[in-house]
Amino acid sequence: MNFAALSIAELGARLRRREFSSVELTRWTLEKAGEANGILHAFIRILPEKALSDAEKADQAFAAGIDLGPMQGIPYAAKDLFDVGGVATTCHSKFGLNAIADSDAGVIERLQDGGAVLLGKTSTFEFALYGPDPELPFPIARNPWNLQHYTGGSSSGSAVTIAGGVLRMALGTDTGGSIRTPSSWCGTVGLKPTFGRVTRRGCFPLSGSLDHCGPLARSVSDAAIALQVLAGHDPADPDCHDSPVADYVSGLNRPVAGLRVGIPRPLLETASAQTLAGVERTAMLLRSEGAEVFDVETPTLLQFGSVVRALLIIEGFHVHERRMRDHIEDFGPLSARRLALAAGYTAADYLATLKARRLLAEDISKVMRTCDVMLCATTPATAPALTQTATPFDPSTPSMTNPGNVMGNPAITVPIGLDTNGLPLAVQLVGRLFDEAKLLQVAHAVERLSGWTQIELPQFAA
Amino acid sequence: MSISKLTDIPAVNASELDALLERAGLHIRPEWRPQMLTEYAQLRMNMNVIHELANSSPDPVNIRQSITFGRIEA
Repeated sequence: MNFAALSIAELGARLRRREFSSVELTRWTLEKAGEANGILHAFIRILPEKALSDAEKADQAFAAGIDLGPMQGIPYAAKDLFDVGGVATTCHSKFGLNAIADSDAGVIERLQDGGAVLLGKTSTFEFALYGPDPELPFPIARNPWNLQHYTGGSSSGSAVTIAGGVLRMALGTDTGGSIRTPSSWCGTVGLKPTFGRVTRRGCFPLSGSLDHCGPLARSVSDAAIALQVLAGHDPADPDCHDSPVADYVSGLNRPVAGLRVGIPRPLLETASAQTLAGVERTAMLLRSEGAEVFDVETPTLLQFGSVVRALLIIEGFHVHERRMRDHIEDFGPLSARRLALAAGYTAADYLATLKARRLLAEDISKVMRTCDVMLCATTPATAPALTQTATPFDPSTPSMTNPGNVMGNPAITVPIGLDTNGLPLAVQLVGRLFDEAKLLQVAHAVERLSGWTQIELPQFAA
Repeated sequence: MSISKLTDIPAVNASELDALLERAGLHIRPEWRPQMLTEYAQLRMNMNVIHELANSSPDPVNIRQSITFGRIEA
C-alpha cells in the first residue's frame, strides 16, 4: 500500500479501524524516506528508533481506547531548527553539529502529546537565512519535480519530503516566506499562521518579530489537521497569543458563495504571465462558485520587502553577533555576507523600520475590512533552474511572501497545476488576523476547483 | 515607489562600508567585498524607502506591542 497517497484524515480513520498499525505505517515511511533521501537529501537526520518508539506508543494508546487527536500515529518531520530532546539542532550549520537539545520545542511537544510520530529532521538554509549554499556540512535538498531546479527555502527539506511522496506533513518556519516559497516550487500546501498563533519556543530564532512556525502539507485538509494540533497558547513564547483556537477542519467544505476575495494588484507587480494567468484562473473558479472577486489597493512589494530585509538582518545579527565576530569563517558565505550587512544599519533605521511596519500593517487591516481573503501569488514564477547564475533570493527582487510576515496575517500557498515545463504553479491566499478557518475554507475550495488533487506526484530518479 | 527604482542603486563609498564593518568588529573575506558593496547600496536604498514611509505619518505609532495588537479587520 502507498500510505502517502492517503490523507491524514484517512490514515487516522484506518488506524482507528485497525486496518494497519502505526508501526506498520512508520516502517513503510522509514523505508521510503531512506530510499528517497539518497536522491532528494530532504533529511539531515532520520530517527528510526524514536519513530518506532513513538509509533508503538500510539498503537498502545489506540489499543487502550485512548484517542490523542487527529495526528495520533501519523508520521511527520521537523525542519532542523526545532529542538528535539537528545538530538542535535544543527540549523544546517557547522555551528550546530554538536548542539544537542535538552528538551523538545513547543510544537514538537504538542505533536508528541497528540500521539504523532517524529520521523526525522529536515534540511534548511543555514539558520534559515539564505541559500542554497553548497559550502555547508549537509547536502542541498533537491526538487522532486525536476532535480535541476531550485526547491525554494528555507524549509526546503520539509517541502521536498512531502513532494517526494514520503510524508503528508512536515514542520517549517517562515520569516520572509520560508514555508510558502518552497511549497510553491515543490507543489505542497504551506501555511504560515497568524503571528502568535503557534508557539516558537525551542525553535532557533532568525528574527524575533517576523518568525512564524507552521505546517507544510500534501493537502489543505492535512494542513488544517496539523494546525489544529499546533495552535494554542504557550506562556514561554512571549508573542504567543492566548485567544481561543477555532475549529479548522469541520468548515473546510463550506461553500465559498458570498465570500469576498480581494486581488491586491500591487503585490503582483513581479508576477510572470503564467503566474498572473494562474491567479486570474483561480479568481474565475471562485467566481463560478459564487464568490465576489474584486481588485484592492495595497502598499508595494518594495515597501514590504524593505521592512523584512531590515528586521531580518538586524534581528538576525543580534542572534549571531558573537559568532559573527569570533568565528565568521565557520558560517557559509551566503549567511555571513548577509548578516554582516547589519553593520550598515543605525538605531534610527531600526526604529523607522518598526514604525513603517506598523503603518503597512494598518493599511492591510483597512483592506481586510473589505474582503474575507486576498488572492495573490507566492512566487513570481515556477522554480528556476539551478543553472540560473543569480540566486532567486537576491534581495534586489522583492519577495511576494514578505508582506505576510510584515502584517502577521495568516497566508497559505496552494498548488493549482503545472506549468508548461511540468513544474508546480501555485497561488497565495491571505486571511484576516486569527481567521485561519476561513482562509483554509477558501484554500480548500481552490485546491478542489483547480484540479490539483488529480495530479500525480513526480517520479524522480538520479 | 516602483520596483524599477531598485535598478537605480546609489553609489556608495567603499571606505564607508569598511569603516562600518570595522566598528562592528567584523572581518570579512576579501572576495565577499564586491558583492557586499552592491548589497549595501541596495540596503541604503531600502532604508530610504522606509524612512520616507515612516516620515509620512506625524502621528504616534505603537511600535512596542505585537504586530497583531489593536488591529481591527472584521
